[in-house]
Amino acid sequence: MIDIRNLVKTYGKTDAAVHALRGVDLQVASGEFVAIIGPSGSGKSTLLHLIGGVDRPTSGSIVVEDQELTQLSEKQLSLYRRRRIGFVFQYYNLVPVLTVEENIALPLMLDGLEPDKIWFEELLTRLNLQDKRTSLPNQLSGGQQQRTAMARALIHRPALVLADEPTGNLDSQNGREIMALLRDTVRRVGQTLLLITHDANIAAQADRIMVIEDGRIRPMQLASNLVRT
Amino acid sequence: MNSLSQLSRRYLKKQWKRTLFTSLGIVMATALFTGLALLFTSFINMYIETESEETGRWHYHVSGLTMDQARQLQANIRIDESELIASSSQMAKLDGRSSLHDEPSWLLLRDVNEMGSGLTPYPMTLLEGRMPENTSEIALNVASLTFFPDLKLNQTVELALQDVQSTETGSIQTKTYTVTGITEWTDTYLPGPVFYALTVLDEADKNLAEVYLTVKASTDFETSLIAALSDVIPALSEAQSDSDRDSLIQGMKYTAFEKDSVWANLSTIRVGTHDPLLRFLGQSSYGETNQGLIRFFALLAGIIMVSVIFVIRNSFAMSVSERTTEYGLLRVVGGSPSQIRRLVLQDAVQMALIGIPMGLLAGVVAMKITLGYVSGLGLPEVMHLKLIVSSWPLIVAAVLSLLSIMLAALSPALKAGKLSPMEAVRRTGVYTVRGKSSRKLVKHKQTYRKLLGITGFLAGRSIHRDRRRFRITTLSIIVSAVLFLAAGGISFQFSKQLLHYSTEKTDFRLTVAAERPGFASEDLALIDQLLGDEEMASQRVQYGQFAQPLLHDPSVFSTQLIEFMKKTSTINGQPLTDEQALDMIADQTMHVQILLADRPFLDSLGLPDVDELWAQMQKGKVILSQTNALSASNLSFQTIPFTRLTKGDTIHLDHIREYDQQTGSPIDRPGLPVEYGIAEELTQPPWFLEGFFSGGGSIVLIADRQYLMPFFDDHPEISQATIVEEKLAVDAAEGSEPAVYKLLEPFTHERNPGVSGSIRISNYYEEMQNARGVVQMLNIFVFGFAAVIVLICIMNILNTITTNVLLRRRELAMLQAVGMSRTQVRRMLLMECTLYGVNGAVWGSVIGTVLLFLLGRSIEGTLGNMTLQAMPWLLILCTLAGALLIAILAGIWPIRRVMKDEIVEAIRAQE
Repeated sequence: MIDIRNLVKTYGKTDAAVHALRGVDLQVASGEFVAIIGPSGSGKSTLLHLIGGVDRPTSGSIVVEDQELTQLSEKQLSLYRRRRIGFVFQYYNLVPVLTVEENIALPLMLDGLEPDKIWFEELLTRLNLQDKRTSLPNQLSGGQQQRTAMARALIHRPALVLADEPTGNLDSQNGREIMALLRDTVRRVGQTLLLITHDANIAAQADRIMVIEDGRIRPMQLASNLVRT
Repeated sequence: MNSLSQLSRRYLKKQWKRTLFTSLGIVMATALFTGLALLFTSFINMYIETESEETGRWHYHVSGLTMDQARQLQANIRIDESELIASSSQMAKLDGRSSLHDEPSWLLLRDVNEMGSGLTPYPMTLLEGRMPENTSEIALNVASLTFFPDLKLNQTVELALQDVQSTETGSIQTKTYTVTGITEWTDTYLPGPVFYALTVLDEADKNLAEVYLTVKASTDFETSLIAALSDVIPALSEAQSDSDRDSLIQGMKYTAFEKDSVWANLSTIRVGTHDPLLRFLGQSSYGETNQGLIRFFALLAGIIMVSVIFVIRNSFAMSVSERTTEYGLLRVVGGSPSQIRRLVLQDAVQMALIGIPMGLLAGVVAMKITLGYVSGLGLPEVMHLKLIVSSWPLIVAAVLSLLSIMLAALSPALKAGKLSPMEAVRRTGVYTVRGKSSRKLVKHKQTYRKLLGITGFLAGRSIHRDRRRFRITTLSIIVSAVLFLAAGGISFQFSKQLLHYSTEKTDFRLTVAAERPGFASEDLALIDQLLGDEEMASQRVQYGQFAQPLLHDPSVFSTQLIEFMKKTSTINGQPLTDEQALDMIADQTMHVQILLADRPFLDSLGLPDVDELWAQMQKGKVILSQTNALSASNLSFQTIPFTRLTKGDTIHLDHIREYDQQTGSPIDRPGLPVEYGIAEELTQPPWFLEGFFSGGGSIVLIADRQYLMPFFDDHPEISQATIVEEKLAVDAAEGSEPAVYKLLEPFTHERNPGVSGSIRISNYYEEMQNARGVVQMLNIFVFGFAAVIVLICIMNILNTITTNVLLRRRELAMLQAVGMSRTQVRRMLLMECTLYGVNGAVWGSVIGTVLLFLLGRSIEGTLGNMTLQAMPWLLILCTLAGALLIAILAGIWPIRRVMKDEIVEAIRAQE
């Protein structure tokens, strides 16, 4: 599903250069749920942005579903984001002028498509957003906004869902709920989920935990084993 | 405060682009105010100069003084310049024709040595000869020559002098004078029918004294004058009340004729006020200050102020909304609301300090250039228009600007002061939907999406997210569109009105006033012959002309004319009845112009069966040509027939009308006993007809000159009272008008205006050129001001659209993160600008058109026919296209800027 080799991302030049990623290798199988943890500034978000095609690497290769992202044009990248990826951000990032329904359908609307009615309804029900269809984001609570963002990431059934601290901005109750919904939905559709988190409890729900530190990635074997046992 | 101003300065530096925009707005606004104030003073100065040149620089005219009193008055400390007119009380009664006055005319002998500095009304010019040098020489006024037929220079005249100061007729002395010169001197302001004659008076004969004077600069000219007079006339200083004083010095308006006898006017102490001039000096004794001008300029200043406040306020509001977090932080660390308010006002003061001086300079320079250009047009109307830079216009402009700026900054400052610290800090920088907009926004369902696709749909939603901001942006466009439309409409209407003469093909018309038809027409025939086959003056026609009034005759006027009158006029706000409309038409008495034609004239009309027609005319039949009245119905120029007369009808014109020169009231006398049978009616007025564009229309009858001659011969009393003019109309070939004028000019001698035998030339070509110049000047002012205001509005649009786009950087990045392509983003933003443009343009055009109609209505009658005659489609179309273009252009820079953003940067900025 994902095959990342020797990925390097450096911001800035020469003296002031910030080495966000220093040769990351990562393989993720289809349908796998991988959690990435690491301290602030370790490069987690950078990795996610690179995989999501919103940023380009300095060197190395990212292959997602047999597609080399580094070779895609700007236009192809937007199509990749629109059709293959579902993004969930920490700050929800909903379009303030669109209703819940419209926000959810946005990736499809950009393609001139209408959402699959059954799936749409199912998502609304699962995420408990039926009553909020015509509400605007500023009329929603944080949890509701994040659920809307999740529905938007899932509506087009992307093969890969990228979540950047989806619960970081929510209280623990809401956080747990959101996580459970995300995990269940992804499982049901058979999507690959790559999730960044600070929360060990959330990370523990993943099939695999990776740790990023100083721009290098390594599996968190011990922790994973501990949790499993 | 110090730290606040530092903070403010730092912010202004950081946001230098917005600071620049706002400062530019302030500079332009100040420049506008400056320009306006300078224009006002320059116009006032122009009026003063023009008035001084036309009627003299004097402020007051005091008559009825003794020579001693007059000299004392001249020497008075309060009097600046003065000119003494010493005359003799021995006046010469003039014999001869004066059908217009019942009173006899007089010649007032003025001492040539007391001639002064040209302070007097109508400065005298010596037309011929020289000034008198002794008591038996005299220079006569050209206007009095009617009483001395066939007078030549150096001939003698015998004057019957009588002392009007003594009772009754007195003894009449006859004295002979040699005429040494002819002067031009309009004595309109002399009481009664009196003409000046210049001679040398013996000291003993100088017994009437008048003084024209200016008072020294003071707050109240009249008080100064009365004080000066009190020094001279003891009785005046003893006067207890205003009414006592008034009985001693009678104020008089110089515009009215006085009916008293000559002597009464000259012997009583009277004070004449040069009101037209004093009015512009702000010293009118009649309260009629230049209110019209002041009102007009105040209106303009008001419009500018509103637009400026609006624009600058917007700019400050933007900056406040951008700095919300900063203000919140300041509040959190202990800043008080008043400190925050002061912070915003500090910004305003700092920008004013930069903008106002620059604006003043820009205004002066711009006005210098504009007025330089305008005076380059060489228009006689504005010959004296030149830039007068004095301190008060600049002070007024600076104060108005500062006031506008502070008013503009006030509400954003208050708003910033009211921000709660929490609300301010919590803001995540998302440009969100405003409370009240939410409900409406969702209603915006799918129309845009179906119509304009997903980008259009998103654009439509976006622009409506904040109703206030939407209103501000569109309002800027609306203001621009309205101003442009109004300016264009006004200029269009004025040009149409001023240039309507262009339909008249006559370039020059030579006119000879004749005592009876046929008289002096030989001169014109000679000129006509001299011009010969000159190609430059290709079209020429010669004819005689006299007028007779068409008196109240309901059967003559057309129903359309009566309807038109009813539609365009009211009495005390009430619509007219048929009867009243008819009265009104009759009151404005339309004259029937009777043209005296010869055969070549008839041939030049190009009518069929000329021989047959000529035969009929020789028997007294006439050709009718109605120049039509103008109707404004159906919003278009429409000509309507003036009378019901048509071929086969007969018309009796049994009156001639004269006007009493003193009262202006009409006197009707019996006219020629002619019956005019209409043999033919012209569908188009011939090219040489005068006054084709006379709002009221007129009727022209073309008759055979030879047929009418005997009637004049048989009725000498009528022929004497009827002014018959012989005319030669010339249509010069395109481009050769000045050359033709050069050929014609030497033949004219205007020495004796209104006196038979002199040829007068009417230069329609020059009038047209002038009208074009005036239109051009008007356009410069109207469009100049509109352009600057539009420019300020454009900045506002630029400011708003830029902020609208830049505040949404994160949102745009996120849209791209979920798969929106850059092309789609760009298209969406351009679509937003287009929607702003369409909204503003449509509303602007509608409001502007309505305003144009109302404006036309409101100044109708005062500034002439300004009714919007037709929908200015082209103008509206230009406005629409322009507004749209402005909105789209305003979007280009911010769109380019956000398109450079890296998605990830924008997303990360908030995380």
